[in-house]
Amino acid sequence: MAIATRSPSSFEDDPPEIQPGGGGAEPAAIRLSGVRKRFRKYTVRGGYSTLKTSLMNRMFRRKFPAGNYLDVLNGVDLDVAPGLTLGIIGRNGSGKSTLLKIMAGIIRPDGGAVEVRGRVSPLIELGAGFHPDFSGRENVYLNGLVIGMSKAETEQRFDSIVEFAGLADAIDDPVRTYSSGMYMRLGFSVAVHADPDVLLIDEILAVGDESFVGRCYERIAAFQAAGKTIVMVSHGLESIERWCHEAVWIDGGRIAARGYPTEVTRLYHAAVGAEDGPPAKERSLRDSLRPGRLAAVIRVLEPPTRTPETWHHVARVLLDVENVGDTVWRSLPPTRRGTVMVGGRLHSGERFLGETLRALIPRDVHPGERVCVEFKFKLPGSGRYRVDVDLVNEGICWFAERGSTPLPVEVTI
Amino acid sequence: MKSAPRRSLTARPAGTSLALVTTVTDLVYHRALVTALLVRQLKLRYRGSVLGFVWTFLNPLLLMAVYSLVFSFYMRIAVPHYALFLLAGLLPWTWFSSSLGEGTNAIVGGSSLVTKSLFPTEILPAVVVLSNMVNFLLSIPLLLLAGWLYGVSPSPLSWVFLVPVIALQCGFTLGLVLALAAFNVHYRDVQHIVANFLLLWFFLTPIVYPATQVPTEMRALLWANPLALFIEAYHAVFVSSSWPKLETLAMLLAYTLASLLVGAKIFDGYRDTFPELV
Repeated sequence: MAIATRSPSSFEDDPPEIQPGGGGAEPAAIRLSGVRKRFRKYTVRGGYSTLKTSLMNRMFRRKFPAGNYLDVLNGVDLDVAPGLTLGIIGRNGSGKSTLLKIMAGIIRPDGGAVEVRGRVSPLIELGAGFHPDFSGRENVYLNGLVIGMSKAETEQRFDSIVEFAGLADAIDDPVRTYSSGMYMRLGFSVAVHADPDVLLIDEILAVGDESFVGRCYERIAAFQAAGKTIVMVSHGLESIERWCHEAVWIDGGRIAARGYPTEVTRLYHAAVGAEDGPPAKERSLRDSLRPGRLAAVIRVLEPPTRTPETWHHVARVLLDVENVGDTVWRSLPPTRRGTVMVGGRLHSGERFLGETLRALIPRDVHPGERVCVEFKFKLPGSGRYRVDVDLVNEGICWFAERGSTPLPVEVTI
Repeated sequence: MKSAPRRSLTARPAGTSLALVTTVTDLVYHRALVTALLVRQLKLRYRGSVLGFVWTFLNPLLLMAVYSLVFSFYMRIAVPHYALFLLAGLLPWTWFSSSLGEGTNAIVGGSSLVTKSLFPTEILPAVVVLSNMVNFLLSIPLLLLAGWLYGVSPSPLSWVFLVPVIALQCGFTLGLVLALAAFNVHYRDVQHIVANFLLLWFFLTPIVYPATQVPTEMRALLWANPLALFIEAYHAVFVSSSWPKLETLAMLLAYTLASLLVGAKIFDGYRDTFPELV
């Protein structure tokens, strides 16, 4: 039973060890700097320019007025460390999908630089170029080539593709006879067999039956375990929280927030769902953050073990958290302001891998009380890791931002 | 504007400034995809139709029958082996005009591929030209059959000349289709212009009438019309059982290079705008 206690004196002893996100030794898998993109606005009347309008404009030296452009991305800087799973959330039309297409190289930005290391497989729309009159088999071969596999690679993986899609019986039927689920399964199966280094996923797992979604996630977990970089765009905040090491909230073509998935989704929720009414005014943990004053003591009750979940590496650790400050910790849904959670920053050796899921405290904790928190977090694969456990409140990592060191917990899985 | 480096799953081989070289290396690099799309295109044309491949023959044969009736019997045009003469011009013309008609729409019509995946988009117009070429090649036996009926057959030497003529027509058509497909993304009028223009072009080309019917002072027009030169070359091979004149081939080479250089340049200039506009 490992015991680690933070006491006031330790603030002076331990210099801060926290690295900024993605600051590891390895170069970023994806690096966007100052990416801008503007689209011309198209109205129904001027759906696309005709030769006539173009000639007229040229003749009369008319320029499109500035209002006819829509700035979709206004200077996005984003580094994604290799092996990280990053979720992108945001309102409709906030530029998420454009960002993904720019990462994929399908759209070229108007300004800024894009750098992507390794082979990219964009799951922007599954089964791109499937032709309804052709059999599944024929479409698999063509789609494989379209998304960048060689013919030999497709041939070699063909059986596995069909098996994963669960279409062994229907593979020689024309695709037009497929249900939309079968269509999607086949498209997804081909895409994940492309063996990419960087997987870009745009809102595709929202559909599909339970068992297939399960298998998709299994596959994504396998990608994570293999150290692949994944960027996923989703409106399903739950899946972002569950699968991503980090999340980014895009708003108005800019990054509005980046950090722990639960924290970012909470901020997003707060911004979007303002109609929920103003949150109750309460003294939050933040108020007790005064220099030299300790608000929490965290101990490990039960060292990390692997959970029985089959499809990816999830570790579980039992923590004892004691409130030694003078505020009440509120246990609220993760999207509400003022809730107190336990979070962690995951490291492999000295490399920062990303921030992990939060664990909610099970009940309100008054000053002087202690509570047992079950903290579950994903790991990218087997190996030795260190999780720096911290207390989180309103986006503040309590220990880290106080200039102290969070509680390091060694994990081997 | 173009500060972002181009990199993708289908990273192209070392970049070069000449658009034509980029286009050709892209096509060669992605030859497996080109082949697969080509096979799909061909299968698509015949799958589900009862007569299938016969359609390739039937259309030029019907045209030939009607033109023979009109020009041989009604208007009494004096051309030896008129049916053969017609066919030798109609088949390459069909290749050319179908390529232009379909190819102009290649990028707009292939939007599901253009906006969602990464591959050099010139593949789509190229596949249109190639699939129509395959159709032309498959209909050559028809031409030989007609020649056999008239007692005319190409000499071995004319076969040798047929190869560069076909290659040149392929290149010439591709250059044109690249430019038209790119323009059509921006100006959808292009497809209508092409459809109308092709009809005019057909009658300005000596296909239903022999080039000798053109008044001497208008002959320069024929030299200005690459298709007239192509058809002349085919006539030489299949009807006169001789070979095309060397100056014809030289002119065709010049036209083809110009078409490819300009077409690839235009296409490359517009390339980045396709995903947003289709």
